[in-house]
Amino acid sequence: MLELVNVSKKLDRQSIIQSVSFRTPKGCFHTILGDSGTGKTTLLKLIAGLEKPEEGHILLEGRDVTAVPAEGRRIPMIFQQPLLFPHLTVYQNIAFGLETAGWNKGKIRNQVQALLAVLQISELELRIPGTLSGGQQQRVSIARALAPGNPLVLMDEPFSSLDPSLRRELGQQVKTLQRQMNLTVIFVTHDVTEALQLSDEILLLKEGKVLESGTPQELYERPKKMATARFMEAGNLVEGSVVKGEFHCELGCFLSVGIPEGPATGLIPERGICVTSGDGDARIIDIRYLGKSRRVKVLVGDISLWIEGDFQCDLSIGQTVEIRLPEQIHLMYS
Amino acid sequence: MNRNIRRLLPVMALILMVAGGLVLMFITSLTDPGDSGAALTLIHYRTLLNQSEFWTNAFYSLYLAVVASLLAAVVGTLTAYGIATSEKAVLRRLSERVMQAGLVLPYLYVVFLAFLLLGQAGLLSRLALALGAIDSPESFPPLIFDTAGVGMIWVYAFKGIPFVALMSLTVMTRINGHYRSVARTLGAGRLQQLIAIYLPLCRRVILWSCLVHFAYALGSFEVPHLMSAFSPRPLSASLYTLYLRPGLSSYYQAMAQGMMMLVLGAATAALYLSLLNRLLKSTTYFRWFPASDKGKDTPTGFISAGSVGLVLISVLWLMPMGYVILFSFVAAIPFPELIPRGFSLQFWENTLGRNALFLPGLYTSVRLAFLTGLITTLLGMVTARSLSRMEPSSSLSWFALISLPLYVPAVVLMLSLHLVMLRLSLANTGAAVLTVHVIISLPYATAILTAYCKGIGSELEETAKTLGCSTIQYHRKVLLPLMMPGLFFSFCIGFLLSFSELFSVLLLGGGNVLTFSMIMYPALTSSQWGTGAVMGTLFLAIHLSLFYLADGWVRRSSSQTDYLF
Repeated sequence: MLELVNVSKKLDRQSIIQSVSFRTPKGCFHTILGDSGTGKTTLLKLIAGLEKPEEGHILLEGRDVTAVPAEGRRIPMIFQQPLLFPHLTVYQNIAFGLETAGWNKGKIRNQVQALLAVLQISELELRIPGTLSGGQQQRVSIARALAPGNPLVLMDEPFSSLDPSLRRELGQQVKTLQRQMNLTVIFVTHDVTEALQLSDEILLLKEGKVLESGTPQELYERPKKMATARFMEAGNLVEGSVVKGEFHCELGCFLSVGIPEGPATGLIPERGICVTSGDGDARIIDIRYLGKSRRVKVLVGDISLWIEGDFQCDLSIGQTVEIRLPEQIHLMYS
Repeated sequence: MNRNIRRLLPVMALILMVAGGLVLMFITSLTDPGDSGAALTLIHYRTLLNQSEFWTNAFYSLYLAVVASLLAAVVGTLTAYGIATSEKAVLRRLSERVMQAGLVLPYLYVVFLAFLLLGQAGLLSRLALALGAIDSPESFPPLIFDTAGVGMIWVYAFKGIPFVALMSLTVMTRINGHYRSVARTLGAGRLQQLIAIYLPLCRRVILWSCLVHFAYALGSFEVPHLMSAFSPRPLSASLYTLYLRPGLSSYYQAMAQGMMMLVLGAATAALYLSLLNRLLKSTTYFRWFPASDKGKDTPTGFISAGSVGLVLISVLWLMPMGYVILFSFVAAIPFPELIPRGFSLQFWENTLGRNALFLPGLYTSVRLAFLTGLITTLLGMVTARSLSRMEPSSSLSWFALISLPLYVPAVVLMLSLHLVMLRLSLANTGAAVLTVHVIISLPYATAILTAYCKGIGSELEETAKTLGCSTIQYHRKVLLPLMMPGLFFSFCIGFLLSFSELFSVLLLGGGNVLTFSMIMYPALTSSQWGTGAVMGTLFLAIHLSLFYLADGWVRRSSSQTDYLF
């Protein structure tokens, strides 16, 4: 559906995007993840045609659209703010893209009303944006983007201005719609949890370059780079080295897979460590209550480890506990 | 009495003068000089309305005003849109600067430009002859003193387009650029974006600036007096002639004509603006315009129609100004030559050295303009402090009253104020001229300074008070430094408006006040183009340098205080 080949972009002589390449198949919910200022929005604007790359190509269904401006590509984009046209009603906002495409009035009416029903906002049809709540406005903005029926939709942190519960609700609704309509979505966010929950594929961007890409599970459980592991907050990182097929570190020896001899970093997932009360080598130095679970920080020698779980035993700061680490841990090059 | 209302007392006095003058004019128009019983009568209206000449002149005036303001609305709005959405920063800045230059030029200067360019021995005629489009100057169509009013419309448009453009631009640049991005991703072409998004959101400012320009075009004295044919003749010119004609009946008829001008102008403006309003509000017709056809590649080096338009606008405004400056430094440009026959300072020597009235006129203008700027700024500051603290609806009502001079045709306004000055025994004095200049500058100063006051808000004052600051200290240490650029800008606007005024000086000064405009005026009526070019160049230099100085200060300070606004 969409392919970027070595796309680069500078703004005020500074490199914002550097040789970014990726492919998004049809029907994929593809998230671009990264910290603020890494170029995610710029990348999205390049795909939309709102900016032009200095180098590289953008292909849409095999056709090179690099020099085609936004109004020619017609890829709807949902921004952080709903950006509903304040002087138009909800109906007129949703119909906007259909009017520019020259649809007849009857067809427009059917399409708009269908979307209003799907997004459960039929009662807002004649209202103006200023009278709507943030969540309602964003729903209208989603309907407006979906109305023209373009199979590719871009979303730039569309839920970041909403409160957490609404954010989750709308996120799930968008995901459901995406599956039902077989849409290809390029979704930008800096929220790791959101990316993990919604995405089929994630592209991790750092300082304008692709750090790593893969499925949520791959990036979270088996990242290839330390920076990825750190960003995904995937678990505890432990320095060591691989000798004769074993990873040696201060916590002990673990089986090594895929990494030849030499320095390496091990990833121990927070949920991969078992804790039992009793005299052990680990001393609890911090406890965080997360509602459904708890997060405990233990000190083992000089190494601190975070452990998450719904621990059955009572735990308190200063207590010594026994911990059991997994036999095999994921390794990355240092 | 509420403190805000107390602060408005000086301004109320000025508003009362304007309103009182109009009421006086109305009552006088209903008075029969021959009837010592002083009963109200409609005889002057009947006489007037029975004159076919009145109706011819009335429709002619309305035609000029509507065409000029429509032209200004369309071209001005397109120019503003082009500037606001242009991706070329250099072109954007150049176009904006050129529009600012067009805005501050005095009407008298633009009339002079019109003579130099559009006259039968003017630049256009010479170009047409050189290109073979005409074979003699007589074949060149008359664009000045013509019945179609082409020259006058050109003058009004030359000033009106920058006015509408800059007023609209202040709103367009505040429209969230992402709206345009959204529209583009939904396939809207540039014209569709303008119609569907920008016009509705800028509707109020476009209508307001059209109304102000319409009122000016309807009531302007200088332009029709210097450029119109004998018949038909715009009402403003015929009204002044009627007012000065000896005889009581002419005087009372002039009052009636003034009132009719006001009524016809208001009715036409209401109709025309309500139609324009409907057009601007409606977005359905944007389907008539092409959606983007840019599914194909945009070739490298592609120059958009918008960029071409902006370049054209800039050239069309800069070229005449450049021609005037050139003309002031030439030995001669005999017809039909285009290239001057050598350069000379003779016009400058004649004007500056041998014209005994030049320096006194300049001195009077500067003094008058300085006082106008100062008083306008002080009054504007006091008024702005009050308006910024009022509820929006009250603030708008007061601002509408203060802006009343902008909506009354100029010649009617001046005549009505003349009546007031006569009653106050101030007619034919500098004080009368100064008062009137303050009245016409005050709306602009109030608008500028109210925006500043609102931007600063009350939080800073509250913070200062919690730190032990008295009101005087707050004004001295906080408010005035923050507002200084705005104060200077409003002073410059008052200065420039006063400096370029002609009719008010002519009427209210009664010949006792001799200003720069008054000296330039005979140069135009007697075709002394050299003198006119020198004075025009000086006009241009004074206006542009003061304006750009003030504008530069405002821009520099706004980058430092952006978080406040």
